[in-house]
Amino acid sequence: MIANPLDLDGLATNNTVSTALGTNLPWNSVVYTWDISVAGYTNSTYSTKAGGWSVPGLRLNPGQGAWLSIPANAFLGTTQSVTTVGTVLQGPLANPNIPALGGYTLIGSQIPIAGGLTTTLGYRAQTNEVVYTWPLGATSFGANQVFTLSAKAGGWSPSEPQIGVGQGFWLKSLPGSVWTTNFTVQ
Amino acid sequence: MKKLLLTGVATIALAVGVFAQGSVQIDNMSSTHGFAINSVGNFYAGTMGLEVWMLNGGTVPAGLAALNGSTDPGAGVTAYAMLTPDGFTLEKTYAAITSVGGGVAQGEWRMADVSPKGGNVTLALAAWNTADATWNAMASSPAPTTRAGVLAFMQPTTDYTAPGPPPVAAPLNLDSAGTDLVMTTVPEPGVFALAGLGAAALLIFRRRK
Repeated sequence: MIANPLDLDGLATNNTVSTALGTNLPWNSVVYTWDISVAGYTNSTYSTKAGGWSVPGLRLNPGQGAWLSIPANAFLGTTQSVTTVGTVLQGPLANPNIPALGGYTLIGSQIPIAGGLTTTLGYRAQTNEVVYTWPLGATSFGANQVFTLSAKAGGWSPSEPQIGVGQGFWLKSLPGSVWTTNFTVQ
Repeated sequence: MKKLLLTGVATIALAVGVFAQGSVQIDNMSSTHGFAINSVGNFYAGTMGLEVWMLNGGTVPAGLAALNGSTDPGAGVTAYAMLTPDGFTLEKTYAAITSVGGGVAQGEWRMADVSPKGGNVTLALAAWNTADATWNAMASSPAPTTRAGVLAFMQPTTDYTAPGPPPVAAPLNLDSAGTDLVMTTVPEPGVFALAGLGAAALLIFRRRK
């Protein structure tokens, strides 16, 4: 799961698969984003049929997460990085990808900082909210990739989820949750 | 009391069977095969309509399988006429969508009648190269340039009600058919009526003989 932590033009709303990922992926790579307004996926394929992205305007704004599916063996079994270019959002930021009534959402940090979801990235989860991460090479959400803010444990269980730069994750939120950050480049 | 309990158990089992689910991405942008005009490999670009028909179980009926990829005039109409008798259900109609290089990208579609949930089904795609709202609207008054076709294939589905984060559904499995959905000429409805009359007359003639 990926996320785009950089912004195209300072508006934080005009980033797409075309602008964020461009031509940097192998043919037949697919990006799936989660639309909280319909609770369903939308997707775009980097396709020879289309000569580029099949849905070039698919949004990939800072704060959104996405599944990225790359054809088997496209990287010949190696791990590769994809470079994106943009500006860092600053000031008070509110992630708009958390449904007001709660539920599953595929999100990411709006700023390019790695660390604990609460202690570094500032998400104040409600008790019983759940985070699902997907390390490279995973085939399912194993026990070490599911984190619950537990009253029994008095905090995150089994530990606070650590989110990398450019990493997306699922959040099962409760009604009324918000994720606000105030970030300034030092 | 026992009778009441049994009735309750039977009803629950039936409800589970009726409300099974499966989703699929109506998207073939990463497939080798696609939507073609007149011949295999002649990929279509432009406005088209698409109906998605579903049959539980992944075995394509033999009659439909034999027509996959056919370039014969009217083959699509012949295949379409088999869908309802073969037990297919119309799941979704996409009108006036755009095909690019023989590919479509219409996102996820959820089907509430897949059984077992998340199981393999047979999909039959019925496509036409006009802006008509439905196949029947297209077939009722085809222009000389109208083309239409049907392709049936095994399609994995995903149980979108499974616990945990929503799973991604599989894209259209067109490649399992080993050929394109070829849209060919659509005969005037009158031609079919005449053909039907001819067949009836032939039957009567044979019986009398």
